[in-house]
Amino acid sequence: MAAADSCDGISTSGGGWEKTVTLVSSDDARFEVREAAASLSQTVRRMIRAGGDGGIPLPKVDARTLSTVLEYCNKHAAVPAPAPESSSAEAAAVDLEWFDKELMHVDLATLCSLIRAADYLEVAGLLDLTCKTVADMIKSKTAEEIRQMFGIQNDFTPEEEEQLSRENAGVFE
Amino acid sequence: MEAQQPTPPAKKVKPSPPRTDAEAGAAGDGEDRFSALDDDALREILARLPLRDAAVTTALSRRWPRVFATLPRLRLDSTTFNARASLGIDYCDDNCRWVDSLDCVLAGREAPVVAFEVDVDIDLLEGYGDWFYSSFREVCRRGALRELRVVNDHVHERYLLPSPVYACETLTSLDLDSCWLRVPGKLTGLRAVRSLRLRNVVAEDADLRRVISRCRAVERLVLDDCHRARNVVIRGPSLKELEIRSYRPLRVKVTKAPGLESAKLILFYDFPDCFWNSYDNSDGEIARKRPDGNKVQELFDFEAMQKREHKKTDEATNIMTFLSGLGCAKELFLNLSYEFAKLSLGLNHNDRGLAKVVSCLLNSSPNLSDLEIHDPYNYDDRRVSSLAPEFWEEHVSTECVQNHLSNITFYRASESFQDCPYIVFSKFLVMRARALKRMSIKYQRSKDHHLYADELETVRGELQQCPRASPGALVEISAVDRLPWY
Repeated sequence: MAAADSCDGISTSGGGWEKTVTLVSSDDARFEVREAAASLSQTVRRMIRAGGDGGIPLPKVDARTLSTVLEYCNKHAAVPAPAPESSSAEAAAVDLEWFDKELMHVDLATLCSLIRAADYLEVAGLLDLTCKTVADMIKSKTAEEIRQMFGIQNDFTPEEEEQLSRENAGVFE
Repeated sequence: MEAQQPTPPAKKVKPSPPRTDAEAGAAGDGEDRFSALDDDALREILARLPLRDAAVTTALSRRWPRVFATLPRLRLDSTTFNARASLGIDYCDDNCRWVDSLDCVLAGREAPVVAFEVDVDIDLLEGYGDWFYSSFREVCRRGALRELRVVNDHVHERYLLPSPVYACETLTSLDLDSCWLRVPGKLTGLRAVRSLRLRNVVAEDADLRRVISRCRAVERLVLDDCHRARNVVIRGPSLKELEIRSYRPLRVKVTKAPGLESAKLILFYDFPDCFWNSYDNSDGEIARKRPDGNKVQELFDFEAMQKREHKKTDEATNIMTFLSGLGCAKELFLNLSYEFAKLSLGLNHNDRGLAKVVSCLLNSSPNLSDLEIHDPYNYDDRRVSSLAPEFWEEHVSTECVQNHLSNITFYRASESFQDCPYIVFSKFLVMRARALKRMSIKYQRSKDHHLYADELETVRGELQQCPRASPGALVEISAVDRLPWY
């Protein structure tokens, strides 16, 4: 069935024809995506080049996460290369920034799945965005505050802890 | 490739279900959110934090010290190791603590440092010079260092770049600000450097020359105000981008840069009191003048130095030396602090690249009064011209030619004038130069001059009819037996 091939197409609003690919999540959900958007993932780009049909399997990403990743890719691939100093380019950048901010309003578990997915799929922009979001949450906090926030168990033995604080001499409190 | 699944149907991306803010929904269930991430992902997160915050994570759990100890990039500034109480300040709150902390970070490393960035005031290292030197040596010798950036924030003093840097063979990017280069006798590293940026550095000509020629792989070279250097020789077989800024006269000679794409030269030396410093004196001058109190004053009389220096400087030769080495550079930007009153160019300015040179020179010479252009090639330039007629309108600002330009002479080796972009440039000048007195186009008469008689008449007519910015200007085309320069 040609319609389900990994390289397919959809007609665009402008009446043109755009190439699409089908991505298959770990839980077998299928996503038809414009090739330009899917290619923001270096992993997918390589698989498109390698060819094959029946959709591109992404066994490490579940449907829910993949849908967010693709939301990101669709938005970012839609933006043409910015023509510097034009007001529309500036507006597009502001819009994109706002979109990114909104996209990051997720719970921690989702954020971590997104980092994993972005890392595996090699979507550089999304990896940067998600890691920055977590980094901002860690910034300026004490170790105890970070543990609380992310549910980290302190598994140091008392001796190790003592050694640690001696070595660090209270520097990184 | 897995077998094609008939179900489920392809679906379009749709917005995620309602979300809760990560910070608000944090913790609670006691599950470690980071357990799902591998160390690589954690390093990606820590790489986006200031080193101080990344270091705090070493106290989280057993897993984290290893992540911190294998971070590829170490970025240090004066406040990196400040106490939590002084997080708001922008200077180092305790020098000893800074040094101890860095020592601790380096001692705990479990992987070599790939990128090392230091941005501190060297005062901070007072008394720890030897220790910092050995830290540098350690970082440079581990065989993995690719990027090094040293920025010294001290207003006056320069940081003497530790010699192990010159022996580092893995560096691909070297960025130095307010450092002092004293190249050791044996220079064994730097061969892999692709990006070299020297800003506000103190370096003698010989040292600078050795560093640059040693960086054979350099693709991007930025020299931004090098004190002491007067004569820079750049041999860049891989050079693509060259950018030079100087607050003192500087002769730049580019040799063997066949791949050069862009060249930028900015000379800006009208304000010695702002930009000059004691490092602009040579070591010899300083040694000679130190013992005598009155003479020390001379070391700081930059205006007098500037005057002396300008007497000795041959700007025109300097600029021609620079231009003649550019070869095939496609982009040129010149911003020269001196202005030519008379400019004589011997180049095929119908070529787009060289026309750019001409336009740059015109733009940076608002007081130009005499312009002489020699076309050294005895061939029909209709074939080589790639210039659109609008080129001069687009690239030459009117201010530069309209007020002072009074004598223009073109020398041509060819008698053919048809479709000649030369004429386009002549017309442009006639229409713009308000102070024009005389515009002469002199061509060498050839044996078969009768072939070109019609072309000549057409061009002469066009030039005469061209609206003149200076109504009294004399516009002439005449034949000469011999061109100057030949």
